[in-house]
Amino acid sequence: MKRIVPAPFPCTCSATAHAIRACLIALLCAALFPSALFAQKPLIGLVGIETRSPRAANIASMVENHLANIIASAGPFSQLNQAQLKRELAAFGCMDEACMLRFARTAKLGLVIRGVVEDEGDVARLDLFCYATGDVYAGKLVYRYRARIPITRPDITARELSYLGEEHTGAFIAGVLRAYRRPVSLSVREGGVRLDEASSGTGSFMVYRFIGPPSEEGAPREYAQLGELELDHGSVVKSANAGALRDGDFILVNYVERADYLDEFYRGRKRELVLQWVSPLDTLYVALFAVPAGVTMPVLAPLGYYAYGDYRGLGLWAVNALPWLYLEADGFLNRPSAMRDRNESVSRTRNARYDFALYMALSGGIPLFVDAFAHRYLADASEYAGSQQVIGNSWTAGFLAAVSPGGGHFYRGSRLWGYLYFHLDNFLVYSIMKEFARAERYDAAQDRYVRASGERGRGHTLLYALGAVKLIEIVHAVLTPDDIGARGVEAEPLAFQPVLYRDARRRPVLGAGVSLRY
Amino acid sequence: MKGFTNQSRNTRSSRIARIGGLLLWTCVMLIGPRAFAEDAVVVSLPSGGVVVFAMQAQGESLKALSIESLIAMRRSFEDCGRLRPVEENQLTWALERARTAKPGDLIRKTAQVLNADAYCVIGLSQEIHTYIADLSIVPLKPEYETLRRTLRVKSRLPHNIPLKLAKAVTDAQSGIPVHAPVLRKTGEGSYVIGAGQWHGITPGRYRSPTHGEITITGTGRYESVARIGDPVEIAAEVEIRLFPDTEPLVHDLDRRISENTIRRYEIGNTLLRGDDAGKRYIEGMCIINPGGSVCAPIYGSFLATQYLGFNTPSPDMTGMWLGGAALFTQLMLPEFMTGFRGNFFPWNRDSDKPRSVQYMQTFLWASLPFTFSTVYLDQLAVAFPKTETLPPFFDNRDTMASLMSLFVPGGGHFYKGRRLPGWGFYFTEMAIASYATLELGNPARARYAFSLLAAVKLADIALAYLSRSSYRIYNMEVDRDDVRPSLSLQGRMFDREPVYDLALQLPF
Repeated sequence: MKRIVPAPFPCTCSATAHAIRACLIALLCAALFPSALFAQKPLIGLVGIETRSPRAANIASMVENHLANIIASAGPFSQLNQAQLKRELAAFGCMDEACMLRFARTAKLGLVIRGVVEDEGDVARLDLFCYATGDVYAGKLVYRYRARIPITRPDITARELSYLGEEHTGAFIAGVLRAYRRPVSLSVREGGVRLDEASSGTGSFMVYRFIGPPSEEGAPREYAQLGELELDHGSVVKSANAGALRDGDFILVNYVERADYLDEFYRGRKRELVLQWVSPLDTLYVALFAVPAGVTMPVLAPLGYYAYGDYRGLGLWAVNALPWLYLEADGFLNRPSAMRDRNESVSRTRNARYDFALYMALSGGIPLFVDAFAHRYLADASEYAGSQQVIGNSWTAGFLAAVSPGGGHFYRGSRLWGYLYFHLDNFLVYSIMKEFARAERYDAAQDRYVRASGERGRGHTLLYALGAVKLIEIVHAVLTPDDIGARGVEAEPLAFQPVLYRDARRRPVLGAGVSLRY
Repeated sequence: MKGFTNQSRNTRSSRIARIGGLLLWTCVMLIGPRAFAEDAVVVSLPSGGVVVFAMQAQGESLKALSIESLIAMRRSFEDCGRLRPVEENQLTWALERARTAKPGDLIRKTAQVLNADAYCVIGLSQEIHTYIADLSIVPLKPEYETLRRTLRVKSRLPHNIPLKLAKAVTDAQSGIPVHAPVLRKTGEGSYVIGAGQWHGITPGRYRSPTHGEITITGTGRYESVARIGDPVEIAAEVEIRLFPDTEPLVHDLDRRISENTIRRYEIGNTLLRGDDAGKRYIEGMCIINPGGSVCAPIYGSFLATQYLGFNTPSPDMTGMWLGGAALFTQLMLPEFMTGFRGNFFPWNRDSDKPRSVQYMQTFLWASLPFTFSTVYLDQLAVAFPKTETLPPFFDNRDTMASLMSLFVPGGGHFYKGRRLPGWGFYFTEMAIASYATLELGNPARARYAFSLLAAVKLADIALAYLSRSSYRIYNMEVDRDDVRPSLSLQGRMFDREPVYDLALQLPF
C-alpha cells in the first residue's frame, strides 16, 4: 500500500491538492476583499452560526446581524463580507472547525467567529466562539461565551428577543476585546524604536521575540519576553532594553478600554430602556409605604411570590423567615402587658421578644416584602418586558438598607447578600434588645413591679457592631448595581488551584490561579 | 452535520440535505457489492481521528434520529479533545475510495483509508414505545484499546437517544491520555507535536511515561511547541498523562436528558395541560387537602389528588390504612393513657389528665395537618407513577424534596415517590416529638428527646435531598447502568380484595 506521510494538516486527498485549493482560496479572497486584505485593522470573519431548528435559526439570524453591527461599530476590526464568506465556505464544504481555521489562515483573517444555537425547549442555548490566527495564537480559541435565552415567555415579542440577543452579542464582543491581544511589530532604525503600525496605545507594554526560525504556516511558535516598553499615543517614549531590540520583535496591544466602553454602553442603554427616570421624591413615597409593608409582610410576601410564580423565592422565604416570624408571633402573643394584667412576673426574654416583635412589624418585615415584588420587576427588566417604575433608584436602595435588615440588597436583586444582612441585622437587634431588657418581678405584698438591674456594657458593644454593619450595608447597597443583566449567562468552567513554580530568574513563585479550559 | 443559518433557511436546509445525502450514501455503500482495491492510498492524519458511521435505519423518524445521533457523537468527541472527528469532506472522499470494499468490510476499510484511530457504528431501531440505539466503538490502534465496547441505549423519548449516545462516548474517553505525534523539529530538543489547546494542552510541564518530563512552551489550536529531554524521531508518538475532564460534559448531558424527560412527563405538560402545575400543587397542599380532610379525614386526601387532574377510581389502600392508623393513634392515645377517663379535647384539663398528657395531646391534635399532608403526599406518590407523570418542580427535585421534608415529616421522600422511607420518617418523627412533649416537665429527658428529634429531622432532610427518585419513567431515561436495589411497598384492590406488594428490585 502506498502511504503519504506526513500530511501537514488533515487534507481531503493529498498535499498537492490541498496547496492548490489554498491558492484558489487566497486568490478568491484577494479578489473579493482587496481592501480588507491590506487594512491595518485585524480582519475578522463571521463564518456562521449552526442551528437545527427553525426557531433556533431565527435567533441565529438575529445574533448574526447584531454581531456584524457591533463589530462594525466597535472599531478595532475590519470585517469581511459575511454573506460572501459563508457562501465560499459552503462551496468548499468547509464546515468543520479545523477546516475553517485553515481557511481563515489562508485568507489572512486575524479572528474568526462561529456560533451554535441549540433549541432546548424552554430556552435557546447560545454558544459563541472566537478563534485567532497568526504566529502568536495559531488558531487558538481566545474567547467563548455561553448563554441560555428564555424563549417560552408567552408575551415575549420579537423586539424584546432582539434586545436580548444584542445584549448577549455585545457581552461576547466585549469579552473578545478583553481576551484578544493583537501583536504589533517593532522596527529599529538608527537606534530608535517605532511601531510598524499606527497605534494610539499609551502605557507600558512587554516586548516579545519569537524563538527559533519561522515554522510552517499555522504552527505555533515559542516566544520570550525581552523587557518593557513605554508608549505615549503610539510613540515609543522609553524602552528598558532598547539596544537589544531588533526588527520583528513585537508587543501585544489590548482593547480593554474599548471592552469596558462597550459594557458600559450596553448597561447604560438597558437602564434607559427598562427603568423609568427616578428621583429622591420616589424614595419618599417608598418611605410612606414602608411600615404597612413590614406589618403585612407575613401575609403579602408569600402571596406575592405565589402570584408571580416565584417558587424559589417562596421556598427561601419559608426557610429564612420562619424563625424570626416565630419570635414575632411569640412576642405579640405573650406580650408583657397581658402578663402584667395577670400579675405575673415578666422575664427579660419576654420583654426582649415583645420589643423584637415590634421591630419585626415595623422594620424587619420590609425586606421580604420588597423581595417578593422587586425580584419580579427586576426579572421583567432583565428581559426588556416593559419599563419599570419602582426599581433602579439608589436613594431608595440606601433608604431601605438604612431602615430595614437587608432591604437595600433585596431591592437591588441580590438575594444572597439580602438574606445575609437580614439574618445578621436581626441577630444583632435581638441580642441588643435582650441585653437592654430588664426582668420585672411582681411584688405581691406591695402590688407593684420591681425592675431588676443589670450591666449594659455588652449591649453597647453590640450596638456599635450594629452601627458598623448598617454603615457597610448602606454603602454596599448603594454601590450594588441592579440585577437587570440578561439572565442565563453561564460561566466558563473554572478551576481554582495553587501555583508554585520557578520564574525565569529561578526565583520561586507561590500563588494561586484560576484555570479555564476551553 | 452543522446547519449554517442564513437570511433564509436555504443554507441550513441544504446542509441537512447534504448530510442526509451523505448518510444515505454511506448506507447504500454499506450494502453495495463492491470489491476493495488493494493499492488504496492512505492519508495520515497528524493527530489521529475518529469516524462515526450510522447504519441504515427504517423510517423517516429513525433516519432523522441517525443524523442527530451522528452530530451528538461528533460533538462529544470534539468536547473531550482526544479523537478529532474526521471532516465531512474527507469522509466523502474516503467513501469513494473504499466503494470497492466487500460488503460488511466497507466501514473498516473506510476508516483505514482515513488512517483513523477508531471508528464508531450506530444502529437505530424501534420497538413499540422504545427507541433503541446500538453503539460499537472499534479502536484501530492499540493505544485506544480501552475505547472498545458495544453497548445499547434505550429511551422512550427520541430526543434522548443522541444525548445518551454522546454520554456513552464521553464516558468511554475519560481515561484516555493525549497521544501526540511528533511533527517537526524546531531546534535543539524543541519539537512541534500534534496536540494543542483543543486537547486541553496549556504551557507547562507534563509527565510522559514514554519520554519523561515534557515542557510545553507554546500552544496552537491543534499543535504545540514542546521541549523533550530525550531525542525523539519525527512521526514518533508522545504520550502525555493528561486526561479529559469529562465530568462537566457528562453533567451537562445528564441535565439535558433530565430536562427532556421532565418536559415530556411533568404533570403540567400532561394531565394539567395549560395550567400552572406549581400553583395547583401548592393550592392542593395548602387549601384543597386540608379542606377535604376536615370533611372526610384521610379519604379526603385521596379526593384532593383529583385537583391535580388524577382520575384514579380508588385510593391506595396501604396509605389509607396507615393514615387511618396514625389518625386513630393521634386522637385516642391520650385516652388510652388515661384509661378513657381524661377529657377527649386537649383544651379541657381535668384531674384524670395530667399536665404532661395534656401537652402531648395538644401536640397530637396540633399535628393533625401533618398527618393529612402525609396521606395526601402518599396518595400522590402512588398516582404519579400510575399515570406516568412527574410532580411539579421536578427540575429542582432535590431542593424541593428537602424543603418538603423540612415542613412535613418524610415529605421529601413521598415527593420522590419513596413511600417506605416516607412513612418510616413520619412515624419516627411523630413518635419522638410526642414523647418529647410528654416529657416537657422533665427538662433533661425533653432535651434528649428534642436532640434526637433534631437528628432524625436532619437525616430526613439530608436523605430526601440525596436519595434518587423512584419514578421508573424518569429513572429509565437518566440511569443507564443503575444496579442499586430498590425496596417498594404497594397496596391495591384486586377483584375487590386488597392486595399488598412488598418488592425488592435489583436491575441486572
